[in-house]
Amino acid sequence: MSEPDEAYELLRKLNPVQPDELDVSEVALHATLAKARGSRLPVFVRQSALRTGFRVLAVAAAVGSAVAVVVLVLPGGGSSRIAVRCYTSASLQAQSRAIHARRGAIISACRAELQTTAPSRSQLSVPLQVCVLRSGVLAVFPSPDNSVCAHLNLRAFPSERQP
Amino acid sequence: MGLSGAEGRFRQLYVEHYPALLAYALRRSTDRGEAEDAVADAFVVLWRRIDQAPTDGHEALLWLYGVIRRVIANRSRGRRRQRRVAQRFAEIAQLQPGADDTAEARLNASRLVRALQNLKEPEREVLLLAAWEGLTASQIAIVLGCSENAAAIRLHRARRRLTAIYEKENASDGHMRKQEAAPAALGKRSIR
Repeated sequence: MSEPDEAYELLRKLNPVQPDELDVSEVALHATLAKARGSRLPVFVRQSALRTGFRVLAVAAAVGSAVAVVVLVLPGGGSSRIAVRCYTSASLQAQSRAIHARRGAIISACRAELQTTAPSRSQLSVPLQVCVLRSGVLAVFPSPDNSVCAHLNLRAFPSERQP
Repeated sequence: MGLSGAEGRFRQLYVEHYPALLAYALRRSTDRGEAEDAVADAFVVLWRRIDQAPTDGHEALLWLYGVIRRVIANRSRGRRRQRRVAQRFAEIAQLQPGADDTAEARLNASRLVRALQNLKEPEREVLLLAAWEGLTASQIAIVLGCSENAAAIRLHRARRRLTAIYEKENASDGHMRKQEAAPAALGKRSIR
């Protein structure tokens, strides 16, 4: 006889999406926005077609246009960023803001965010810990405790280093 | 940048919720391109109905989960959908639950996936919303458009059904292993 809810706990652990798969591309935002507006530019190109190689010329034109727009309009160009939620304290109930950051710069991006949102200045010097929320999104908490993720019942995301 | 109110709000919701929606779609799709298309379609719905989307960030995410759920359901109906679900779960069964990569863990994962496949689609969805998206019964109620009470009951029943089928799978595997072991033991005796 298995433990009560063993199956459900196993299901939770078997969550198949890793945060590495959740990059947000600014090109994709522009393609979606253009599609939503009914614009003729990258609209007719399905995002899957970008992968499968269909409509090569259309993709090249659409992506080229979208990249040009991104490079001209947005700071930081069309590079892929990862979505991160920066918390003001080591609690899931704390105030938080969603930002986009490049890999390797997640902690510094959240620290910059904390400069504007932290309730007290003393929080600004506290080390930041990166965890993975149940939804798969990364979350950054100010805490000197390396095991804060485990305390919050979250997985740690160890590949980011303190700057 | 001088964005209109609707466009500014759309961008904010996109930036904030794209990863969670992509994760939702990837958990239910066999192909990343297909998942990205579903997310793009969900955001097109958001653009058209931007005035109906909740203003609170988290409520907006729940609203978007409801949209993408319908988008995925509309994109693949009937048998084709069942085949894709089966294929996705077959892939998931190959994953290692956490760091525990033992033969027993793999066997348990495969039993769990068989149990999931035996659930009806609404039961499976309510379970996955809780276990994979980490939603509570009241949040699931918003996604599914039902009362909190109904969502809590559905979740409770789905967990019970999953456990029952999983235990049945366990028992049936144990029985098969015994049957496989018995002829081997008889063979050893006859040699002696």
